[in-house]
Amino acid sequence: MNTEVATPDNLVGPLAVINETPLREIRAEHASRVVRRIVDKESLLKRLDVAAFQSAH
Amino acid sequence: MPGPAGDEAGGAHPLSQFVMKVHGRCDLKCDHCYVYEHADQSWMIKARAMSKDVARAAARRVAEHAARWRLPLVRVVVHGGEPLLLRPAGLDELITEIRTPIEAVTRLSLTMQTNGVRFSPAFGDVLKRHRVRVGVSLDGDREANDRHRRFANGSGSFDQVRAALALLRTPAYRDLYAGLLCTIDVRNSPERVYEALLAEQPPAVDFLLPHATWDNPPLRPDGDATPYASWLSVIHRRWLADGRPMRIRLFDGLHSTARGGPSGSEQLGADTVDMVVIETGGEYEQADSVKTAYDGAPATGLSVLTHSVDEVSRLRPIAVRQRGVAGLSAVCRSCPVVQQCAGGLYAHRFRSGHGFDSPSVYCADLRVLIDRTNEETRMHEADAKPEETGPADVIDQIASGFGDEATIGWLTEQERSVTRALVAATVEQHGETTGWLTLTALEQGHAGAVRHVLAHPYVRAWAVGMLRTGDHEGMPYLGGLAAAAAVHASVPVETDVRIERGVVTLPTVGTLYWPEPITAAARIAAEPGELRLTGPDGVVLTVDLSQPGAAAHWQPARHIARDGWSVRIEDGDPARDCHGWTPAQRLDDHAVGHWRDSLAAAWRLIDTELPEYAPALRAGLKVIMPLEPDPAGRQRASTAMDAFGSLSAAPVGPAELAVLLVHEFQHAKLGALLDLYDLHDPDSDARITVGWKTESRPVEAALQGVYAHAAVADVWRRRAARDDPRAPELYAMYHRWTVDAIAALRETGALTPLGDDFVGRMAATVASWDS
Ligand code: SF4
Repeated sequence: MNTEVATPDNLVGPLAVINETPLREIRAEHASRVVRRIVDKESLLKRLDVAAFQSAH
Repeated sequence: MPGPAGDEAGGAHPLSQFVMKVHGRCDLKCDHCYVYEHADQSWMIKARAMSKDVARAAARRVAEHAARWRLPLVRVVVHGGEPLLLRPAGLDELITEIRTPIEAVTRLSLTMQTNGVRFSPAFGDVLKRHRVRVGVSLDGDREANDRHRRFANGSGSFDQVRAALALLRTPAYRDLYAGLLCTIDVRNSPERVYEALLAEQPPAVDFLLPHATWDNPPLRPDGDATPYASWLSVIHRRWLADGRPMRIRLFDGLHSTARGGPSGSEQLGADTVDMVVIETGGEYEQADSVKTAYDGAPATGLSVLTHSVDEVSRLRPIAVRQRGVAGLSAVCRSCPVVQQCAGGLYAHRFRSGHGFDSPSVYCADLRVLIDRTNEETRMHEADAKPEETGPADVIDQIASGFGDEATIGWLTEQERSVTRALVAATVEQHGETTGWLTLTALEQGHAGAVRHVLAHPYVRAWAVGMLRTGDHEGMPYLGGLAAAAAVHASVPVETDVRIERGVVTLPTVGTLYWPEPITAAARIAAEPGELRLTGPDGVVLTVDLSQPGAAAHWQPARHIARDGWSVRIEDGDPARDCHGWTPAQRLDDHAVGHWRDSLAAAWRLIDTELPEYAPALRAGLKVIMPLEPDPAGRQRASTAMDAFGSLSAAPVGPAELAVLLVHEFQHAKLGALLDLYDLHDPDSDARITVGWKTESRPVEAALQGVYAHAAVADVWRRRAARDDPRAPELYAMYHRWTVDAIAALRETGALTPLGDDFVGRMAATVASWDS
């Protein structure tokens, strides 16, 4: 039965691979891991998109 | 036999995971299924599907329990049988019944486990609306999957499942995709299974050992004493060598328990199992896997219609699962790997006459697997370059509030890799374009030029936009990147671009302005020393690149540099509009002169007043994106998390600009760190009251605010030492905001151990100011 509790994720390993790969050869599964963490964050993972400063005066 | 299921084992305790069987039948007839094919045959007498009344009663019981124990989060797994046998409308109704009472008292995380065969856009829309994440069962390649996962007529389900997964990967439903569940059969090739699973790009994979007990031991072909360890080790080695492209829960759990962390799974490790199953008719049961033991094994005799969750939690078979290692057999308790294994899955320990008081029937495999996994991981980490886990002090460096050039350089590299991955993903999603083909061809001989262009901060903002929508209209942006790289490389290219509201951007090179603010397809030819843009009606704009100046239709990139600082003014790229405020339109020379003066003076101030912040800013800040001024004259500045290296601001004087640069770049540094590491539980929707905003803030926003305001407090602390009359009051205010918010953040319980560490270091920095 799949009752997962997430252990903390990190992107460092996949990024090290991507960094050394020519654009054309970046594998979909590596890219999709980045997409999930960076792009698919709006609905299920709440990430801040913009940190804005506006003075009060 | 274990004691009667109704045995009470003492006081009630909190349970936070509930598996709800919303449909009791399945459209597949897998021969390894524990519901239909194992000892427990109670499915024959259970309700076919969960009624609305039962769902409502179950949810009320869960809500009442969550309220009594003040549970911060309840997890509900929508399960079967096959939950998609409910039609979309039925599923919608049932999930609504489940959500309403629970969400009135606590947070709810919903997942569904399905065979995927019936998954469709109609189901996807229902699940999306209710934010239900979907796990799909797939046993590997066609041969592996269809060995067991077949319809009643004997035909395989592989094609239907793959179609479902393809649908789950589209932008509309990608958020829902939780992962794959693969039941191991050692007769399948582990390499082929791994590759087939990987090809589905799952966020996570869980491998399940086939259900077995000491009475019904698992298949062990060819006399290999530990075939399951051998099979999984092949995958473990391959997965490490591939750079862990997906999460594999079993291995993540072993890596975590090897360092004393939680396993995150009930298969291995001593995490307490605080789970109960609610059957279609409302009966409470133990974990499904216990069905494999003996007929009636999971039954508790209690029901949501008549009993509370507290009453179930007192039952011995449920309570014993809470005791971790202390609840295991004597053999396991004295086993050297007990902290990582903890007797394996509960159901696998069953032996007639001994109940569940034995090691796992997979004991030999588990011992070998754990030792081997630990060893393989050690060897891999010893071989790996240090970058693979990040510099050891990256968290320290950023938490100190500053970050040296090497740390910021490393973060910048990671951000560039993120951009590369996202650009590649846009092509995977929308298909190849001439711009892409040109860019990748250029990369072969001129990798430096392509890297330079991809370092433009708004490439990522553009890619994120493309990946969040199904609309491919914006893809010719890649043509602008290719043309820019070609200019840097002095190589002739011709490619498609798009005039977007009158603009074609060649990031890092310059911006072409079409005479009218149209949006239309166009073609660009970059020759050494010349650009030619051909737009609608064959109109051609030509740029002589040997002439440094601007023209009505051409604005070369403008750089402002002094004393080791250098930024580019970005006022052309349409993708820059991601900062929450209106970007300024093309700046005239006067406006750029104003920026030049303000920046030069602000940099001098930072170098003299705030020298610790200077190295990070110099290394990381590459672009200033001017904003329209605020009509009320207030300062405006922002950092977009999808544009590392850029900062937007409305025109402002040097003293304020110095503070803004420091404040905003704190956001950028922390944003880049959060791209890489989990400092907080992303599922947490805790809200924190902070001094700098009237409304309470989510965890990440509060963390960002604390980090950036601590720096502002630091600025005023230093200015106080220089007898600035406003400084003591401002320092006191920012300091109080920071200290209070740090305390509030720590109280949420939403920080990961890394996040706790980070906040602790930040608190220590702030505390050191008082002395
Ligand atoms: S390896 Fe065997 S003895 Fe050790 S904890 Fe696991 S099941 Fe128990």
